[in-house]
Amino acid sequence: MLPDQRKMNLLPHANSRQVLSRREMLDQSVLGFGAVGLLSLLADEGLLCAEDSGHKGAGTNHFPATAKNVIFLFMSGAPSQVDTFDPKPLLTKLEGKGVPDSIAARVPNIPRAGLNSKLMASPFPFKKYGESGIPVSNLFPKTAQMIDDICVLRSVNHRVPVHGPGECIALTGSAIGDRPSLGAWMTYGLGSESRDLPGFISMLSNSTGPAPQTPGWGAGFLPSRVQGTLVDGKRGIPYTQMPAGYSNQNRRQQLDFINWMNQEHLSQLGQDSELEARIASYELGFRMQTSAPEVFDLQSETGKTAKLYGLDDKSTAEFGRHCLIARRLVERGVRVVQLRNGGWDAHGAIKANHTKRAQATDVPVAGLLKDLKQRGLLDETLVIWGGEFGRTPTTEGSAKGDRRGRDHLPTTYCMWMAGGGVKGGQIIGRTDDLGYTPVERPISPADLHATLLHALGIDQHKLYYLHNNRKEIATVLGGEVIREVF
Amino acid sequence: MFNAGWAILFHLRLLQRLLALVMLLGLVAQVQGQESRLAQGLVNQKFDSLHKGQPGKKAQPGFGWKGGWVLSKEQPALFVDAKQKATPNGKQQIIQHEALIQGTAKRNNPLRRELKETYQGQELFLRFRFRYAADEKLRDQGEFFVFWLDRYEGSDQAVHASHIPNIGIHINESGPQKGKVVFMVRIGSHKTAWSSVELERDRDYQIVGRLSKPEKSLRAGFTRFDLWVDPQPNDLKQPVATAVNPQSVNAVRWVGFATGLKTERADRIYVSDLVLSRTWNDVLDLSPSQIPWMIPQKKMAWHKPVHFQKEIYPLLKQRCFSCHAGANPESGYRLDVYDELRGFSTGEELIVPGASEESKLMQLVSSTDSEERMPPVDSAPPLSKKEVALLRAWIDQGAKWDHQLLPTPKTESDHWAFQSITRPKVPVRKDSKRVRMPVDAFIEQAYQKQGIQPAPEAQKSTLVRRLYLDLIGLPPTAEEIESFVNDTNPRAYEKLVDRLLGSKHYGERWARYWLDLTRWAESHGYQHDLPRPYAWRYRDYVIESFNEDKPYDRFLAEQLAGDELEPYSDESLIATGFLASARISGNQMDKAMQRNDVLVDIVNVTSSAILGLTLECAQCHNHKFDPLTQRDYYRLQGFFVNGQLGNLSLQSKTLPNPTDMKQWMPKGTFDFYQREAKKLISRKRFQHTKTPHTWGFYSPLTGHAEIERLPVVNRDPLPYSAEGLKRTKSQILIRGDVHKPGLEVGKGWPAVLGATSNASENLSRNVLAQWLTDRKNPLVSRVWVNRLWQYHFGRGLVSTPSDFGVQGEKPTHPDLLDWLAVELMEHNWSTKHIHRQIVLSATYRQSRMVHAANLKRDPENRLLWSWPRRRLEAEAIRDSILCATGELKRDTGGPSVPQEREEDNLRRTIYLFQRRSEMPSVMTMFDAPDSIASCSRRQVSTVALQPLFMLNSKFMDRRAQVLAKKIVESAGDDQSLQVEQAFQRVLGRAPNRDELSRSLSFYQRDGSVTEQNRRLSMLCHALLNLNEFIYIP
Repeated sequence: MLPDQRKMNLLPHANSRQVLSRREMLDQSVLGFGAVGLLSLLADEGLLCAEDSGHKGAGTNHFPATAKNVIFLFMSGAPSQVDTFDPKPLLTKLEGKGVPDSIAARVPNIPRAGLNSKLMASPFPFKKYGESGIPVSNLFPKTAQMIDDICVLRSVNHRVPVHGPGECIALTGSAIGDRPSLGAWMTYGLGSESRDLPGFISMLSNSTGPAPQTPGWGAGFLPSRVQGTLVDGKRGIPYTQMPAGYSNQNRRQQLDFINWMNQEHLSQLGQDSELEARIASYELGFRMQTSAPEVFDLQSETGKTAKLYGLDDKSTAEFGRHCLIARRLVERGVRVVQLRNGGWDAHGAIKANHTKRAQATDVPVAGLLKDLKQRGLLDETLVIWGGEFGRTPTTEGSAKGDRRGRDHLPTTYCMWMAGGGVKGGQIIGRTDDLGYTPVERPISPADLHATLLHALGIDQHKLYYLHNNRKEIATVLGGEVIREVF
Repeated sequence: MFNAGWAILFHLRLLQRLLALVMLLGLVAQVQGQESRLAQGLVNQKFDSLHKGQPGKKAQPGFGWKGGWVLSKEQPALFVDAKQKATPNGKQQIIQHEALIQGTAKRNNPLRRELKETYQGQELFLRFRFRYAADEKLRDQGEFFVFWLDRYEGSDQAVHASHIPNIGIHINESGPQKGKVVFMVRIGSHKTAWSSVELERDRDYQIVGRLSKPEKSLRAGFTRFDLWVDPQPNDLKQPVATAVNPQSVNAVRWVGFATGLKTERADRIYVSDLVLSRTWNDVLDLSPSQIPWMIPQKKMAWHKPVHFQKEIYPLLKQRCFSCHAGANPESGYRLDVYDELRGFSTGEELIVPGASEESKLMQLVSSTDSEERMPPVDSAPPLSKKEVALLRAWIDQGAKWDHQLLPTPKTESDHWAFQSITRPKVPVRKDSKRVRMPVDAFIEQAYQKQGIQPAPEAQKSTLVRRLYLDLIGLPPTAEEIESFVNDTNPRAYEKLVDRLLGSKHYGERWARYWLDLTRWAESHGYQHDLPRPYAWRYRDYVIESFNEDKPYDRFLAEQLAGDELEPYSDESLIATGFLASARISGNQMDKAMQRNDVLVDIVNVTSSAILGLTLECAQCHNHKFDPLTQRDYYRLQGFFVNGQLGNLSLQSKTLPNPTDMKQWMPKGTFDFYQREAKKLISRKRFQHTKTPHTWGFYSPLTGHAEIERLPVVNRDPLPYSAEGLKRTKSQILIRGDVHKPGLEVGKGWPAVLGATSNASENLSRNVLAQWLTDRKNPLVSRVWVNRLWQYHFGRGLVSTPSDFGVQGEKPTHPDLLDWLAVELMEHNWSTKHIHRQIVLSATYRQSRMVHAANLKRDPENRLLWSWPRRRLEAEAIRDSILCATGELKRDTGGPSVPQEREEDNLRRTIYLFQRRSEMPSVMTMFDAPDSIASCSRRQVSTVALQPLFMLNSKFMDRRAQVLAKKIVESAGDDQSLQVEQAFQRVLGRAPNRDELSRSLSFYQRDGSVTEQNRRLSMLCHALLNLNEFIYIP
C-alpha cells in the first residue's frame, strides 16, 4: 500500500503551485471550447485537481491504489507456456503421440491448434524455486529467484491465433486495433506525475519477427496527449536533441522571443486558453528537452547496477538498458512504461529460439525486479510479463529433433505479475495435463486490463471517455478484476 | 416409393433419437416439404444448416449428423442445383443439390461434418458421387482430392493424413501407371493402394469404400480400407484397391472432403449423395423400407387446437413480456411482435411455425441448463410442463397470431434529422446593415433572440490570410496581402474568393477533409500493412473532383458505384477507392472473417460519412437509440456483398501509368512489398503487371465486364472468386457472429428512411447512390453542408457531424442547416456554391473579439458572435512552412513522395506516402487521423512533443536555414532589412518597432557572416513557430 497522501491524490505539486479546479479553469477561460487544450496540458503536469473525477478521467483515483506505475514487459511473438511457467510431465510421456481425445475435445475450434500434430516434450527442464516452490523452466534461472514476488497466471486465453490482432488484444483489449491502448487509458485516467516527461513511454527491442503494432501504444479515440511516446532506447525521447549550432543559451533566447511574440499576439485577441496552452507547451518541451537526456544517460548508475541489468554482456545489454531506463522513468513519475521484446515466434527450433530470447531477457528482467525491490519501488510499481498468446503442446510440421518448433495457441498461455500490491509466490489458474486449455480460472486479456486498472485505483466502469456520443471504457468487451492477484 | 415421404417428415425428430440403433447414417434432404428420402442429396442448402451450431436450426442437422456442414473459410464449397441423374442400377433418382468444390492450389477442407455419434463399429461403408469437371487448360501436374474420416474436425488447412483413412484420387507414384491420376485408398500417406482406374473428366462416378477392423472391438483400429468405383451389387468381393495399415484410427467422428496443393483454382469438383452405413446393401441402395420404426416419445403432448388469445397471449404476457417486449427488450429478444419472433430484425428465428423442435423459444423455456433457461433461474420458476406443451403445440399448429392485439409497430420516427427537408424562409432583417448573405439573416435572428452583440468586420489583412488558409491551406504572400488590402474595388473580396475557389490548391486542401472521412491510406493496414501501390489515383480523383466542383450527388454515385455506372469510365472506377479504402488483414486465416471485416468497414464508413448515422452498433444488435435494426445494417451491407477490393484494370491508353514504385514508397516498405510479391509469385498467386490499374472496388455481378481484377499483394490475400461473389447473398449475422448467418434479407436502406423496392435482391449500388441523393433523402444534403460549415468555422451547426441520430447534438440553427441543404440540392449539388454562401457572409468576415456579455450568454460561442480562430491542420502547417520558405513544389497529382526522400521533392503534405503504420511525422505530431476509422473532426491536442518537433527536427532546421539564405540573398547584410523580410515572408507583415528591436538582438555583436546567418535562421525558425503563423486569424 502507498502512503496516504498518495492514495487519494497523486499530485506531488499540488501544494507548491496554485491548484485550479476544472470549474475555475472553465471560468477563467474566455472561450470555453479552448479550455480543453489547457486542461489537458496541465493534467500532464499534475496541476489539475479534478473535482469531478468520480466518473471521468482526470487525475485522481476511485479507490486506494496498490500501484502507482506499471511496467509492461511484452514478449512479442508468443513465449510457449509449457516451456516456461507451466510444466507438463505428461508431454514427456506422450512425446511423439497424437493428442488424446479427452484433451482434444476441449480445444475450441480455432484455425490452428496443432491437434493433428505430434506432442513434443519440453526441451527445458523445470525446477521449483523459492519458498513457494513454483516451478520455472531453466530458461529463466534469474527471474525464478524472484518467484516469491511473482504471481504466475497460467490460464490467460483468447481466440485469436494471429500475431497482429493478438498483440492488439493483449494491449488494447480488442483485435481490431481501433481502440486506445491500456497505457493510454491509464495515462488518461491518472496523468503523469512527471512535469518533464510524457506519462506513457514505449520502447522496442529486438524487433525481429512480427512487426510492432502501433495501436499497442496508441491513443485510439482518446486525446493524443495520452498516447505512448515511442522512444529509442539509445537516443531517448524524439526531437530532444537541438540542431547543430544551438546552445541552451540561444535556445532560451529563441524561446523567450517566441513567448513574447505569442503573448503579444494573445493580448490582441484577449484571453484564449488554447493559445495559452500552446505557449505553456514550449516551456514544457524545453524542460523535457533538458531533463530527458539525463534519464537516458546511464553514466550515473553504478557498475554494480549496470551489471545487475546485464549491461556488461552483449546478449543482454539491449534489453537490460531498456529495463534500467524503465526503472529510471518510473522513478521520475512516468506512469506507464511498455517494453516490447520481439522474436519469440518459435515455429521452428524452439529450443534455440527460446534459449536465445530468454538469455537476452532473463538477467535484465530479474535485475529490474531486484533493483525495484531494493529501492522500495516494487511496492508501487506493478511489473507484468507475457506475450500475445501461447504455443501448441504439439510440434509444428514434420521437423525432427531440435529443429522442432511450436505453432501459435491462444487457448491458454502464461503471464506473470509482480509488485504494485500483487501477492507473489502464487499461481492462478490451471490447465489440462498437456497445457492446451484452462481447466480452472480462465482469465481473459480484459480481466488482466481490469486488474491493472484496479491496481492503479481506477474502477474500470467509471473511467470513461465520451466518444461518438458513447461512454467508452477500457474494458469494453467485459473483464473482471482478478481479486486473487492482490 | 415416395409415399412414405410424408410419414417420414412427420416423424423426423423421432428418427433422430434412434440413431444409435440405426443401421445407416445418412442425410435427409427435404424438398419443399414434399419428398423426403434418406441418404439422398448431399445437402439441401435451404433446409440444411450450413454451419455447426447454427441456432434455430438445431433440429435439422440431417439424419445422423450432429450439425450442418462446416465450410472452409479459404474457399468454401458452393451448393448448386443439379439435374436428374440416373443411378447405375437404372432407377431414376433426384439429386437435389451438389456441392461444388473449387481448387485452392493449397490444402483445403472445403466441406466437413460431424457425426452425431462417434462410430466405432467393425465395418463402415461409405459412398458418394463425384465428378471432376474439365480444366480449361489441361495440365499434367496431377490432382489430389479425397474424402477423409477422422476423429477430429481439424482446421481449414489441416492434413488428415497421418494414419487417417482417405479415399479419392491422387497421382500414382508407383507401378506401371506412375504419373497417371487414379483412384486410390490410403490409411496414412505412406500406405496407399493405387487402383488401375484412371480419372476421366466430366464423368459421374459413384465411389464406395469400406473401412473395417480385424476384430470387433471399440479400441481396435480400422486397419483395412477397400475401394470400389461404380460397383455392381455382386462386386463386394472385388474391390479395385485395398489399403492396409496396422496403425489407424479406431473411431470416426468427423468426415470431410479435402483438396490439395496440386488442385488448381480453375478445377471444379462436384460431389453429392454422401452416405455412410453399416452394410453393402444399404450403401448401394437405400430405400425408406429400411428405416427403423420410431419409438414413442415421452413428452407431454397437446392434441387440442390451441387458442392464441386465450392461451398463448396470457402466457407470454405473464411470463415473458416484462422483459421481452417493447422497443428495448432484454438481450434484444422481442416476443410481443410476430415478425420479431420470426427473426425479422435480428436474423435469429425464435419460432418456426410448424416445427417446435427447431424453435429456439422452446429450447430456452425447456432447457435444463440454468444458464440458458428462460425465464431466468434467479427471477422466476420455469414454465410448467403444461405451459411448455401449450407453447409447443401452438408452434406446431402454425403459431397463429392476433395481429390486432399485438400489431407489428411501424418503423417511424419524429426525430428532426429523419424528416424531409423543406426550404425555410430567410428571416427578413430590414434594419440590419450587417446582413450580406441569407446565412447572416439566420445567424442574426439567433443573436437577437439571445441578446448577442455581433463583432465588427475583421481587417482586410486578416481576411485575406483567413481566406487563403481556409480555402487553399496556404498563406498569402506579402504581395498578395498588399494587393488585396489596397484593392478599392467594392467586389475585391468576392473576386478573391472566386480566385481561390478556382485555384488548383483548393482541391488539395478540401480533398484532405474527404480523405479523413474515407479513412484513405496507401496500405492494407493491420499487422503487415503492405502497401497499395496505386491507391494515389483515388487521392487525385478526390482532389480533381473538388477542383472541378463535381456535383456532390455525382461525386457520391461515382464513389459508391463507379464500377457499374454507364457508360464505363476510368474516372468512375478510380472513384471506388472510397469503398476500397477499407483495411484488409494480411494474415486472417478465417477467410469469412477477413471478408466480413472489410464489409463492416465499408458499411460503417458509408453510413457515418454520407448518412451521418452511427450504424456500426447494429452489426450485432438493434440500435439502442435510433430506429435502426440489425436488419437495416445487413440490408445496407447487402449492396456490397457481391464485390471485393483489389487492383482493377483501367482502359484509357492516355492515362499516366508510372510503374516505378520504388520511387514513391519508403525503401523498407518497397523492399517488403517486393519480398511478399515474390512469395506469391512462386505460389502462382501474383504477377507483376504493366497494365494501368487502380486500387478499387469491383463486383463481378453488377460491375462492367471489361474490368479485369488483377491479383493483390498481401501476406495471405482474401481469395477472389467471381463465381462465389456473384452467388453471395446478404444475410444477417446473428449477434454479429460471422459464423452464425441468419435470415437472408436482401438489399436496402434503413427502413426508417423509406421503403426499399420489393425486388431488393437485384438492386445495384447505383440505386443506393440514387436514393442517397434523392431530393427526399433527409440526411445526405444536411450532413454535407454541415460538414462544410464545420470546416469553415471549426464546429458544425450540428456539432456531432457524423451522428445525426437521436443521440447526436441538435443543430444550433436548424433553419439555416435546412436552407443550406436546399441550396445545395437546388444548385446542382455544387459544393462551391455553399462555400460562397458561407465565406461571403458577414458572419464569416467578423473579427475575433472578446465580449463579456456575449460570453456570459453563450460561453461556447455557439452562436458565432466572434471569429472562432483555429489551429491549422498538420498538412496545412507543413505546407505553410514550405510556402513561407518558398520551397513548395506546386505540381499536382501523381504518385506519392516517401517522407524519407521529401527533401528531393518538397510537395504538399497530401502527396506524402501514407502507409497506415508509418504516417508522415508532421501528421502524427499534429492530430492527423490514423486512417482506421472515418474521422469527422480532428482533435486539437497541445503536447510538449510538438514544440520539440517544431524546434529540433531536421526538417524544421533546414527550412529555417533555407529561408535565412534566401533572405540574405535578397536583403544583403542589412540586419534590419533581413528582419523586415523575415516577417514579411513568414507573417506577411512588417515588424513593429518592438519586434524589430527584439529581433535584432538575435544577432551577435561581432559574429562572422556565417554566424550571423545562423542567427538569422534562428529568428526565422522562431517565426515559423508562432501562434500567429499556425492559427487561422
